[in-house]
Amino acid sequence: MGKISIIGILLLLCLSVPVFAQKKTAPNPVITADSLVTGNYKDVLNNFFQLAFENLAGPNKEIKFTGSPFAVMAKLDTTLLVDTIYRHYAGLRNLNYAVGLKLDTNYRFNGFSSTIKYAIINRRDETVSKTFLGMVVNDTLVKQLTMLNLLISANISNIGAPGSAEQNAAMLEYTDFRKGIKDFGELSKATKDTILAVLNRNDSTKRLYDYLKGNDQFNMKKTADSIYRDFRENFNRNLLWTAGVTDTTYKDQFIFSNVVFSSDLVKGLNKYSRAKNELELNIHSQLQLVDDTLKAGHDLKRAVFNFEPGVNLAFKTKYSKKSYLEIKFSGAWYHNFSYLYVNEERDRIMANATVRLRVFNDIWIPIEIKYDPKNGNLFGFVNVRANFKALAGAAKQIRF
Amino acid sequence: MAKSAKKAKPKPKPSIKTKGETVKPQALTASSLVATEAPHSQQVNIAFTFTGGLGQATAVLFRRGVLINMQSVSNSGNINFSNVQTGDVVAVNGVCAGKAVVAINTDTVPDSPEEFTAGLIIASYLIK
Repeated sequence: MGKISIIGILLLLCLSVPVFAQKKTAPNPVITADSLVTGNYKDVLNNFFQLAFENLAGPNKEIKFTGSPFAVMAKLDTTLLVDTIYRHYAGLRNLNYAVGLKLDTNYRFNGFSSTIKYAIINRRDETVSKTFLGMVVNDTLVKQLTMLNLLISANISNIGAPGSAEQNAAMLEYTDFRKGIKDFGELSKATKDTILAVLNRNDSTKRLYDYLKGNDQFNMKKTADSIYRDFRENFNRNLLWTAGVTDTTYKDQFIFSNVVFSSDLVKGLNKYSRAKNELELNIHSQLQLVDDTLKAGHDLKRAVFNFEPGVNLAFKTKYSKKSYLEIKFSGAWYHNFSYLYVNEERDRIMANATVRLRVFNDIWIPIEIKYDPKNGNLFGFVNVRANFKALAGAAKQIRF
Repeated sequence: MAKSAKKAKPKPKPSIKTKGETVKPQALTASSLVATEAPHSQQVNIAFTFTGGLGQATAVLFRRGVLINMQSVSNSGNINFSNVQTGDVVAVNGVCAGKAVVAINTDTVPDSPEEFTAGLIIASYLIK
């Protein structure tokens, strides 16, 4: 069995190799927003590859590979990423799958697991939302920045003789400004005066004029990026509701030992607020069918329902807005539909807390604590989650 | 009636010289707003490619400080400006949710194609 687990690990590593190899050439905008979303959201729906080592300290360890069919297809055929085609694959992008190897305490093979999950409602995908684009372009500050671009472009077209060195120099300096290479204060006096003059002439750009007048640190690119990031972050707090099924097989037979039907709902509670930290509602429910161990043979006759509403608080850094610590408090109600074992209760209530620590850009360590108030029991679980983006980044660092 | 109409029609001017004059710096007049053909005029194509998400953009052609032409795309596609001259400026404003590449089929300052990551597209190109 030990051999099988080693083969399994090698298989997973082999799966990751093409991902590393293609990372360099194939653009993958599918994952650009990943580092900004909360770990809780990533646990609900992935749009990338994730390799997870779960329950490391427990008796039932698991190595899990999570992916999205669209992410895999886009790796093989990048034309799928072109917007006119991309928009037609919303269904596939909302589908997640996972395959895993379960290991026992001695890291020996203990069964396979697989998961299929689908986002029934996904209002977080800004990449296919015209509403989102409309919100961005109609923002007051965005309108002022685009107006500045038009005014300066018109101005440059009127400098000196067509194609003159003077005109070229003006365009190059403006390019440095719009690309964020130069702050406003680093521009030549003539260019600064021109920008201020054209902004001052237009009522629609007065606010930007007032701001620029006393702010030499103004960086056009950083400002534009910051506005867009705020819009995207708020959009990523919209409702997401997924449903899925997970199954596990026995280690000696390809028969299901455990089937779980689950549903997850995630929604940001402080959307568009000025608060830096994010508060998220998370409602999880599941029906678990497991083998009744008191009966001979394999069956799935024990049914346990679990309902777990909670809130997740993500603490974010001031400027990059990446969450570095997340704390989730939840309650859980368990109901056993089957007949009860000795000393087993039909209904049970637990209080849970999960702390997720971000150790690297894309690597999280979730620590789960469950408390049974009735019996006074305390349980703890430690997992490590990493996705291939982080691993690819690490590989790149090693290469150079 | 037909005769008077014929008289009212302006005589066609001898041409090339008059066309050439449009490149000289001139004061802003009503005629400045019309894009006139010059010997070195060219048709310029601006190709927008959005990947990994939707995008939209507007390209505006300026000559001597005057807006000459303006066209938009709401997905990957091309914008064609006819009669573009040296010294004209093409301003591009837009937004993309994935990546965007703006490619102009003539020499520009700065060079194109230019790639934009998710966010605002704010660019300007001087036609060489």
